[in-house]
Amino acid sequence: MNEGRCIKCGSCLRACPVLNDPSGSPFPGPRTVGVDAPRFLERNSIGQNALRCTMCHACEWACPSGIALTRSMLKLRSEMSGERPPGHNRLLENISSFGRSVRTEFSGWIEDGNRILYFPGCIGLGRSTDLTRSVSSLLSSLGIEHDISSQVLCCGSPLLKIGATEVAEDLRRRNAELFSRYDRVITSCPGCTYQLREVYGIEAEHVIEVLKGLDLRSRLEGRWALQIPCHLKRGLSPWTGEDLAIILENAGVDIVRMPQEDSCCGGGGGLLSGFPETSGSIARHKVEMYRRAEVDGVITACPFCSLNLGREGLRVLDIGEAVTLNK
Amino acid sequence: MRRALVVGNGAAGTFSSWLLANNGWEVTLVGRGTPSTAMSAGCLRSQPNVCRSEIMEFLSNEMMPWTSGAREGLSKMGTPYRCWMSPPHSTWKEGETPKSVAVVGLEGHPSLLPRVTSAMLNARGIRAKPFILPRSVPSEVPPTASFPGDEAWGALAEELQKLPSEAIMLPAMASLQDYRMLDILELRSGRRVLEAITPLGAPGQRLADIMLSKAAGSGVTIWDGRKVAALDVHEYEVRGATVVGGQEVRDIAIDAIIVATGGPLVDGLALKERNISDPFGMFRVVRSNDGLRGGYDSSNGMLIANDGRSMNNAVGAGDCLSSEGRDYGSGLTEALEGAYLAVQALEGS
Repeated sequence: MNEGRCIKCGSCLRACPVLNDPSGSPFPGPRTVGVDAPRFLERNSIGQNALRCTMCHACEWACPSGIALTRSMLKLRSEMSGERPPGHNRLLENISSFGRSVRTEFSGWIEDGNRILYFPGCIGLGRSTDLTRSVSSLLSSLGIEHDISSQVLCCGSPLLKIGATEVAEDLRRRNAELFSRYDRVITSCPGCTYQLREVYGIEAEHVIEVLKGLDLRSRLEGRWALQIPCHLKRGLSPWTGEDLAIILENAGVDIVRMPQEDSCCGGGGGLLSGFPETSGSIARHKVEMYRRAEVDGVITACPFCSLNLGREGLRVLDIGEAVTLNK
Repeated sequence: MRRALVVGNGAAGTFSSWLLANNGWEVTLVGRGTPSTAMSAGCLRSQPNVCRSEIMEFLSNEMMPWTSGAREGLSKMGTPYRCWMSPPHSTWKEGETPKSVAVVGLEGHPSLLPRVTSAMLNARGIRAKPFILPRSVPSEVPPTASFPGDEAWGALAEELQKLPSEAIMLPAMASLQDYRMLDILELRSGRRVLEAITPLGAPGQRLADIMLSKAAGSGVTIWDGRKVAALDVHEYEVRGATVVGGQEVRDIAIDAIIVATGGPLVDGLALKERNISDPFGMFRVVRSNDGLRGGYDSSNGMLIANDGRSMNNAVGAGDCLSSEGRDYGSGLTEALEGAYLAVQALEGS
């Protein structure tokens, strides 16, 4: 780790969506958690509030010294002892009883022995099931015949976020056999995509990468803003983040660009389960901002963004629900 | 169309990108991290000797006007500050020092310490009084950054009306989008509204925002959050670059490069024992006893390869070049002038 390069400029603090939440949050900030705690003994006494980070990578983008703040904070989580927030315990219970972070609501399994797997992730199977159905039928309309396997478990990303590295490793082992049956994996969740690439070594494709360059048209009326997912733009690839806007614009969706379209919705990093009040407050202020811009809704490409902003009453669609093949 | 890669998202990188794009180049700007420009006080300390009109045009912005000439202001510690060009609320014309100042801190906002600043001003013969507005007046002030919502500004204006002084000094908290709010505060409160000269905060960020949006507006492709990992060089000519962003790696072909990275440093800034070496492993650097003066070696604007030969299409701009004559505090003006000269060197090559 390269925390020693910190010049104490505060750029990370100004970039942090949690510290800048107008309701105020007891998060000690990326510098204390990502730079100071790992170097000094504070790691032993830093406490639960250190977990109030959405893992949005904004601090890392702002850092002039290239410090791997997110990785550093993630590592600290795996070393922390003490009580977990109740929501994180619930997540662990869910994993041990049925292998996914939230209870599964989806029932449209496709297990036809196709060589392509669509991996919607726990939120896509448990909460944003309309999104999952839309992406699946969009893929089919593109001639991408795929399975949606009832056997897949959580990718393990949320477990790394709550510091449960061994549980994450166990899930990876249990998923590996299933993945070996497929030639290609397509996802609609940037967090899952990142995990599959980093931890599993699978070149999973986010649906944006599948849609890029295709002849698509809009399914929408009205003016739409964007919520560019953190793990897409700052995790997977900034080019893929830009493709979200390019695909929608080329399809003829009326897109309103806003300066804060790529700031975190508050839904990442285990905040949604562990600290719903902080997560909700960040979402609420983002939703107010979108309302002031008088858009009909927001288009994103992440089930967590859909869920968290949708909870605050904003109309949120996934890119898979916004476009269709032009024929 | 000639393709240029500009490395660095600060003053030198954005200005040279803008100049090149206006001269018909296809420009890609790659930069990551907060540039020093965004950590500056957002003012030009010294008057440019070359390309003054280009600099004025580059910095002009409809959301924030500029004032220039002999200007004076107060730092967030109450110490005097002089410069040549600044946003209108940062400074006053030389000789128009306010007689009395109410120094208004906002509870929880770290960039102005009213008691310390007032004491400093009183010691200098400016009548000053500290005020601290509680966090609940406007309830929406976050501790570190911008100031959202018109209601919050309205509540602040009401509070300021109650203050007895001729001028009011506020922490630097207006983002570029919010800058006009300072005019509104001035109108509503009937007091001269001053913004404390503050590095590492809103003023520098506004400047960086103006520069980046100007470059983007002239057609420059901005690849922010990305890093040039390697250069492809043949016969003293840079022909390509490998750019990394997140987990993705892309190779691009280029006809010229401007290195404007602030310093020849492997990974960004480092204040102590600034250990300079070329991250691309291609160009010669001059080490100096004074860490702030070491940097890339150059000849007629062109960078020098490791073996001492001059490059054909690679120039350096701004603070990354070694400079014997650099004065402290002249950074932004020199960076902008250097960017202009770099573009001229490239055009002449």
